[in-house]
Amino acid sequence: MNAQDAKPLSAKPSHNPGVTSGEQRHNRFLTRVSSLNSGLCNTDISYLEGKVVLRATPGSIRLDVVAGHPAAPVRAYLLKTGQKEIASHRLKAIRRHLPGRASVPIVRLQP
Amino acid sequence: MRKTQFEGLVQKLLPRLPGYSVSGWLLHRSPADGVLLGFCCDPSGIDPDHFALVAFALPLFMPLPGGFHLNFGRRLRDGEGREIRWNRHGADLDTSLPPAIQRADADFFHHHLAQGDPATLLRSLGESTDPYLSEALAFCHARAGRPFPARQAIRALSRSRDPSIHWHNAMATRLATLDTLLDADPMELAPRMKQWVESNQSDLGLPLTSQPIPDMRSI
Repeated sequence: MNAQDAKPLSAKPSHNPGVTSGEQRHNRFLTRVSSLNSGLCNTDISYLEGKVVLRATPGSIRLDVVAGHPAAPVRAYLLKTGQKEIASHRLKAIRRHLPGRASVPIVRLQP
Repeated sequence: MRKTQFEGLVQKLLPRLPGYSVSGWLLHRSPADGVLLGFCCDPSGIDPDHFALVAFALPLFMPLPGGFHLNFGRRLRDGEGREIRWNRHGADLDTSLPPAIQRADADFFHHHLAQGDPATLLRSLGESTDPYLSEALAFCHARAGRPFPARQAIRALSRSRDPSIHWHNAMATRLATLDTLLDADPMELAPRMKQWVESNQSDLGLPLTSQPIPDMRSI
């Protein structure tokens, strides 16, 4: 996967006032990655202390996409729809719980 | 998707999935020989009606701090390698979900059910560089009366341990317990593993079953 996958995503007005354009872009991006037939990418994976855990497990962190087996990812991707960088406290939390920690590149994707 | 919605959905399909029962997010076989096998619902963060399934194995004969995890698991994919996502309102759910589960059951679990070595099963569902897999394999070897590979796994993990990582230290403590049992009190291993099975089953909300833990062979 490369950053190109995120490029064609554009914000469209939401029919649901509770859904922001950022969420819509996330949804479309993850749907697109899910439909890739690579067999290598996994979407929406949560981690706690190096373990793959159920979504919304207390204390866990969630990554948009990981490449490789989720238990030993080789690369992690975060889609950022805004202009801000990934917050340092978020990066720290990801590093704390992601298997492989510093050795796994965390790639910021921006549509 | 909510847990109760998944339970209700799968409950209707159980007659077509013999040997399975549903408990929360888990569609699982009765724990046999200290291993829980099944499929875990992975609700989508994208759409509340969508979900995926992860085929998983969980060895219950070892400490599982933090409880259930999916390190020994694989998401169900179609023939072309795409993640399969179902819609709980989908008209094709009845026709597509049971066959996909049956196929995955055959692909991932049948060999284990025939051969009965959890180490092979965990290797096939996990990733060789995952420390949790190495830890589980150490317990598998110890349980099967293979102290040499058990100790090898313990030593390898000890060498790769990073003391700055909290969960590496917790793992080292668990493995030290295993190492001590292997060295000093191998006869205590079987009853200890039985205790872990019972306590893990209880923690996961699974019915307690009396299941044989193989006798320790000449450790």
